[in-house]
Amino acid sequence: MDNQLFTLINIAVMTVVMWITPLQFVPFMIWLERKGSAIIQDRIGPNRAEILGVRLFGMIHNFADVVKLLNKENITPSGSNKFYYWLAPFWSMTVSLLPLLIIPLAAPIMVGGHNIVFQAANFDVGILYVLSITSMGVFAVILAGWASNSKFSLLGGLRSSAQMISYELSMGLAIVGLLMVYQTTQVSAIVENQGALVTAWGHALPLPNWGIFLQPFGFILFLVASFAETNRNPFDLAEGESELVAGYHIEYSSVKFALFFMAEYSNMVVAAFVISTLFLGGYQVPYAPTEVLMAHPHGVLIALCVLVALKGGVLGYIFQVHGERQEGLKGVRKAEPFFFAYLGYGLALAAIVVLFLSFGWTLPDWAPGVMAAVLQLGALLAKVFFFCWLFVWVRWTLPRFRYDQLMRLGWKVMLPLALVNLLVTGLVLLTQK
Amino acid sequence: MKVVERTGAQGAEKFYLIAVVQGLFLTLGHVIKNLFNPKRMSVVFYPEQKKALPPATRGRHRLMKREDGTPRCTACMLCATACPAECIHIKAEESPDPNIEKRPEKFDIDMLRCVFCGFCVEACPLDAIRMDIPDVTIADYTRESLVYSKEFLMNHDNKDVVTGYNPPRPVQLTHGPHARP
Amino acid sequence: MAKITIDGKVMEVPDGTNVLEAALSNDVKLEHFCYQRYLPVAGNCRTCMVEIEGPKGNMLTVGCNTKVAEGMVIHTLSPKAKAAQKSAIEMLLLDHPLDCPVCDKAGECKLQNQYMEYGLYDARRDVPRYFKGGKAEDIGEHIMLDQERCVLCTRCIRFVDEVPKTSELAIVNRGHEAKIDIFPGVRLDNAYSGNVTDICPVGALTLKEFRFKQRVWFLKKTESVCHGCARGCNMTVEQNKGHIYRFMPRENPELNKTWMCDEGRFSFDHYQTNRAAEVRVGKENRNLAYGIDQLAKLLQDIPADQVAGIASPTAALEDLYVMKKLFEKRFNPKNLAAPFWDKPGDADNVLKVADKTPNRQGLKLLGFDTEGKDLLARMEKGEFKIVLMMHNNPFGHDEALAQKVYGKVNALIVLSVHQTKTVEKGAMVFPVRTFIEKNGTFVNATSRLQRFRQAFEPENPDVIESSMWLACLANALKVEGFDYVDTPSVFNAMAKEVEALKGLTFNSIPSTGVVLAGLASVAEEPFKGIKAQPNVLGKKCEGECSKA
Repeated sequence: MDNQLFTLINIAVMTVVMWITPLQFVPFMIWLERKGSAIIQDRIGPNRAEILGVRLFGMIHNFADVVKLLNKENITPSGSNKFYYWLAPFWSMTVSLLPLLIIPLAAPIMVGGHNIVFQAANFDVGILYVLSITSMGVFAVILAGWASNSKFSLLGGLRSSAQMISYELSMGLAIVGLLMVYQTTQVSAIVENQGALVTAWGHALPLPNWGIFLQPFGFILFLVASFAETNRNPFDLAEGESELVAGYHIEYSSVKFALFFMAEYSNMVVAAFVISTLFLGGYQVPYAPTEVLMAHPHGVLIALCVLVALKGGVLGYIFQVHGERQEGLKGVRKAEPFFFAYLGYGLALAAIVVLFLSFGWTLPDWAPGVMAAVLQLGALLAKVFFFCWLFVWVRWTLPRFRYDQLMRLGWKVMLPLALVNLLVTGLVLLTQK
Repeated sequence: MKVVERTGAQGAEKFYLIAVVQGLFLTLGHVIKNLFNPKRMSVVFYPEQKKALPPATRGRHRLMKREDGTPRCTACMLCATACPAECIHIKAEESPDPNIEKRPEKFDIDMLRCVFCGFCVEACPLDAIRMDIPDVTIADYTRESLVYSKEFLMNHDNKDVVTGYNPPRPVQLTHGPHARP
Repeated sequence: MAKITIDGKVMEVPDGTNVLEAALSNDVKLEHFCYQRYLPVAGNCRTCMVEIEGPKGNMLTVGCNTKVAEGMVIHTLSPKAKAAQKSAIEMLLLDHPLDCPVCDKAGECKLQNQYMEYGLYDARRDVPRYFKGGKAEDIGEHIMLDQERCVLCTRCIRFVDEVPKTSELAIVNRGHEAKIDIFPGVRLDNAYSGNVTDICPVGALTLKEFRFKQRVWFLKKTESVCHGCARGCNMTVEQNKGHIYRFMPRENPELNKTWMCDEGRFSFDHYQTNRAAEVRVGKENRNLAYGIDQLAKLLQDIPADQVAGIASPTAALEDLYVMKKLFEKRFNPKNLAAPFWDKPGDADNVLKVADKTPNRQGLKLLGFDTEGKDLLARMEKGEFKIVLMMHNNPFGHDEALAQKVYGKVNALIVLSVHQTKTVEKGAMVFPVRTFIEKNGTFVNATSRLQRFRQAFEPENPDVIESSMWLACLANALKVEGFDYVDTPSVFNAMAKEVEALKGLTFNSIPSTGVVLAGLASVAEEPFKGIKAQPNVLGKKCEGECSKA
């Protein structure tokens, strides 16, 4: 196979993967939201839906949701602008799926003379592409709000669009600081830069060269702005239930509502990926840049084993104690921790054993790269999961802002802070030279 | 008149992030405790486990019966008048019993409209309607089946329920043979 | 006029007025039971006790049977008077069964109101209650009698003696066993029997037609005028959620006093049964807009001379006016008449008149030809292709004649309240509102212009007033000058054009009506030959005087 064709297939596969990644995260996010909110509030959370007695810690509710939403009556309100009314949810969904294309999942590796990249599109403009695509999401909100012919929708849409536009400014400015530090807009280059350690005025510091350490203010600004951009609490005024019932998507039902719902969660996933990539080193494992990982395949293997064991053990324990708590309910509960946590752990161990049995201590040529990629993917996912959880965590901890507070924060606090941050960054960079 | 200055948050509080982080750790504490020790969550697994209803629960309506099994109600419509939800629909008719004169031909309570305020019980001069059937999970598949008819409301053994909504009842029936000295 | 003082309030009342009437007409509250403004004074309930200052000191007397005299000083609130009133009510309540929940009078019962006001909740009685017995006795075609509730005010006896002069009722027995009853072999079946239930201050006499149907506090009352005959007795329509439960006479001292005949009283069901329900175009049920549209298209192709209009004395003055105006502006006013082939009904010297339509005088007022012989003759020859039939029912009145007259008409456009035989013959049918569902005016047999008001909105929005329907048609035909918003605006426009109505607006018509000058009366005044009423009214009744 010639290299060009391989690259083409590689990119095609990665495009599909990156496109469906947010969709794969959506059920997880919904589950995390429900279960997380329950546990924060000392509740059990959803645990009733089952398939043949399997409840998967409430995960089966997502299937029930799908069935329910598909079977709901698909209403088009009278007096609505049909075209825009139908366009809005599709627009929203499409826009939320696009930005992930530029996120690298792991460092490129060489396998059998082929260079495999784990990134769908390595644009030069990189991060600007994310900004431009996410800012298009506001159209869906405005269209939905206006086309529904409902006052609640219209108010929700107006609030939401004003909010998104206000916070896009500080979001962009926060990123500008980062670009000044890394001197590039290409996302793969930014991530590669983050593998090293921080050097300040010629001295190396024992910190990874991550955005969060170079741009702490920028990180906070970006985080807050991304909460606002995704319309999440404490900035979810677009759908302030107490005033607007459900905001811009109040007139949407069935699949159209499902699309908005999914778009909202995939926006969060995208935000989590972007923050992890820009500020938390992306796929970089701290203190272990790609070259180090490639050089120590055995260490990587051991690390993978330990991590998988740890994950399986903790999850299995949690599954088990929660299963015991619900003793007396109908359905299979005892076997679940085994099947869905301990079994995965066992399989991982078995795979490693098989690996050892077939290759012995000397690993094949492709192994260091693949294992490094797996570990880096794990590192990225761990960061992404943390931010996903942060979204849920913040929502169930903080109350909602008032609209004037929201606007004051956006224009009078975040924007000046972002500008000051730029100034300071520029001064520091000047003194570095 | 005294004007009170609104101070709002001051000092470190004004810098929200600290308070935000404090709040986050508070909830995180709950998460960790609940994850590893779910028994501390006081949750009742509802359909399998049920808590006893408190004694003052206002339950489902019932129409009380006379000793001969006819409704005590005389279709005076005071409950329908008192009802803020307009959920009681009564149609009166002539009673064959000369001592009773008037009786309900139709007595429907639309449970979909009922707000369980208990005004009907307090308005009734004959203690003919009570809200003491301890059933608070009233649900069905059609609207029609939730309009309770006279027959349905009288389908009980006419015994006093002690744990129920029990406002003071009229001592003496004011009409019919009961009222005669 | 005599100058008297009641409770320190100086007032002037006509000579011969009794004290009770003087008090009531000057907004002094004085309880009363047996006194009825249009019946002779009996003075047997003793609740209107007042204290009158006299040369031999103050004395207590009943207000109803004491005529005012110049300089009289009366106290209704003095401790003595109050105590007397209170003891009279306590006496009435002594053996009265407090079965208000089952009593149909509850809510408009004088005794109940006073019981609540004076707070005599428990009788001071140490002997057993005496029960007269006799619950729910059937004493007439419309009337039920409950002996137990009766307080022996004799209003009903005085009524049957004085107004229909049939005297079916009397007090039998004496002392505590005294009770109202019908004479043996006689039933309370006179043509005005329903009135005894109105004047009964308690629930002793009830109407079979209203009994147990609805509690009175649910009823919404609207000022109206009876549609049953050319007398146009004043009444209130009492309905709840669009269902009429009863008609009640409304006081008009110059017309029906407080009476009403049974025929009119029980006609309420007529207006809510067998109604024309849907707009019909050909054989299809369509909506109003489509119907008007089709009709306008139809009329545009037809010469104006080939369109005739048949009005009716059952229509309101406004409907007739708009129809006339439409024919003047768009068609030929000569092709408009109002032949109504009903048969005269029975009349008497109390209220009933033979003409059973409410507005024949209105037709005359607007210059309609009520015979229409010429028009019908031309109709018979087939000169007209389209006939606009408003409220009229020729096929119902005389089918053979109607067939002969209207046989050659291409299309009969019928505006009808009821599902009549004419509706069946109509090429297009438009259901319209009854007088209960719209505002309007009638002119009665004694040339009295009377206003009725809308009681409720019909469920079907396609059912509109005939006047508004005609205005819609005129607008669809692009005729100028039909920009009416509602019936009152039609009346106000009509009052500017019709000489007899000059200076009136819909809302300025007194609730008791106004006699139109220049329109000859066609019937005798009511209560002819009946003894002059004994009570001089304190003041002329205007608007709300039905409280008395």
